[in-house]
Amino acid sequence: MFGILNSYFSNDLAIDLGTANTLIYVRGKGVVLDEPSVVAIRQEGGPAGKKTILAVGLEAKRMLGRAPANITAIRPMKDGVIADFTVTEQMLKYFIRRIHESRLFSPNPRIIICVPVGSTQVERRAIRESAIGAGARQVYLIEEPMAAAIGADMPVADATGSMVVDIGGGTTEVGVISLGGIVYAKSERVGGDKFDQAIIDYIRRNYGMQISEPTAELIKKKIGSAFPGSEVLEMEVTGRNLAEGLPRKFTISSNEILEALTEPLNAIVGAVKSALEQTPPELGADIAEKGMVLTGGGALLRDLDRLLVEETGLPVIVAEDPLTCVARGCGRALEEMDKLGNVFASE
Amino acid sequence: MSDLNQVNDSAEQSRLSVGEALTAARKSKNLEIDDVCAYLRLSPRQVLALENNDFSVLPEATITRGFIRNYARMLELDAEPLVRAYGAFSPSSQPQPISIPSENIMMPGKEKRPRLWYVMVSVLILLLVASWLIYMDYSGEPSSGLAVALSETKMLPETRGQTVTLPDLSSTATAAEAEMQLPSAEAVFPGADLPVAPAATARIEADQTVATHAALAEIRIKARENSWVRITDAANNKVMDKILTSDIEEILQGQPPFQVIVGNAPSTTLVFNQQTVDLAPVTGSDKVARLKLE
Repeated sequence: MFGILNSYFSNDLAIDLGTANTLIYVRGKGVVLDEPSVVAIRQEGGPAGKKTILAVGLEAKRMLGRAPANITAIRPMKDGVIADFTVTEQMLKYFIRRIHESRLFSPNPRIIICVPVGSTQVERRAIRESAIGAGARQVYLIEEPMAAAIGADMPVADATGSMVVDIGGGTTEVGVISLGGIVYAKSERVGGDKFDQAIIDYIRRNYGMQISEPTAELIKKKIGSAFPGSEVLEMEVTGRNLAEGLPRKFTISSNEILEALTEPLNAIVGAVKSALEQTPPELGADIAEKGMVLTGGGALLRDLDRLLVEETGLPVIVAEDPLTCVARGCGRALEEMDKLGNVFASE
Repeated sequence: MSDLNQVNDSAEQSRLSVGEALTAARKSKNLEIDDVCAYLRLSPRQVLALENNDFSVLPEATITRGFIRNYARMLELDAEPLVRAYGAFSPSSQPQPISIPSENIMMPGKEKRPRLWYVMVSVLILLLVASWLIYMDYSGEPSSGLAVALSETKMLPETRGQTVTLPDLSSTATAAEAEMQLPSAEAVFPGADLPVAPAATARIEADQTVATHAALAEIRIKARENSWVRITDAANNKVMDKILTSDIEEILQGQPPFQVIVGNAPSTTLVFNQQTVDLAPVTGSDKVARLKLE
């Protein structure tokens, strides 16, 4: 009885609770929310004072690195899992309310959340608990490679091997899927954040300049490259000179960024190669025929597919709209959740 | 100028099929099939299939679209018109199923059979208990009547074997007559002074009491000197086991036949049903008399 009432007042949701962005898919509507996983918290009246949430999402991201002492813009997710439980719960609650803003009663929907395949029981439990704390009536977990493969419209239920490489903000998930289940999966805690950090470290080491995370992200998006191409791009960057302590401008090239990204890219290539080594030969033959599919924001790094082609000798395809693949995959699972059994993960 | 070229290229691509556009672009760049295979890591069979619009030998639509995009990017073509053109060839835009269609036929498991067996046995036991209870509830009267009749029939040989003739026994109904009257307990016992065995059922207990009273025998025993007396009745119960003191008469009633042992027979007087019993013939040299009163 209450279930019917609840389903009337709440929409079922699929959430891609990512390190960098949170995407929410509403049943029957599609992806309705895509916001950075950032929360700005204001401390009132000294260190022991009350804490209030100032902004969540895009607005909070604008405050990153620009906030005064009493405002902290934090990212509650780290390496694909929850780093700050309370803030994650509040962020989810805010996003869920935003979707249900016209409703009279507080929503308590059924939620599917994706989790990294390498996350521990404790980390999965934390994600489930935070969703319940945010008002979920029921929480289902789905592993990211499976969600990514469904979102990329790969034949996950067929008796054929499909390989997906999901490069998110915090983790890179490599999965080999066949007959509706994950045959092999590997999670590497390398992603967009590690790319940004590698760029920051490279510039500090080689230029003696300190740049912020948003600047590093901008460099990555504009001139970042994973494979040496024919065209060399350049970008003017402003940072703080560590020796002088003053803001200075300098120009950096795509080849330098490629050099900066070598270490995290090698980790991704290593994870892919390891997955291929562990894949049963029959599925390996399928993958050699069809290649692997790249999803996630990391797939947008220029020539990353080219790097993987050269390193593995296999065809590599970037999925259509890779940023929303996981959310759309969760959404497909949500639409067909009554028919699915083995797609959902246990804690 | 380059924009104009691009517009012309797109217009030309939309007119041409996917394969024709890719082949024309490859030839214009003086590339061989092997060059494409080496760059994209596709087999020559797959590249030829793309160029010949033979999409049936290529993997599913998502993957083929990726191949077309990669090939177009290699040839520096705009991939979108080609992908759209491929849409006309792809069999359907239905998304891939994400669950395996299942017949949902349960496999016979080893643990299932014993459970089913237990259930069947339990149900059978319950049915048996229930039917017995129903039988007891609905057929209680006739069955108890039958039980009485059976018990009475069982008693009859005993009554037939008794030879005691009580003084007030007016009826001398034979066992055959008693048997004929058996169906009604009322008809057998009231007034009928037939001796009845004590194993009668509770239902006829009142009637039986009357009959038992009628069959009780009386013993009077008196000793002039101290005398040890033991009397056991028909049921082998000790109705007396004591030393009688002098000049005190003991009276007792019981179910004959009685086994009597008198320790000091010469000094003891025994009266059975108002008839004095002579103890002398049954007294041994040790003055102990052993006799049976019927």
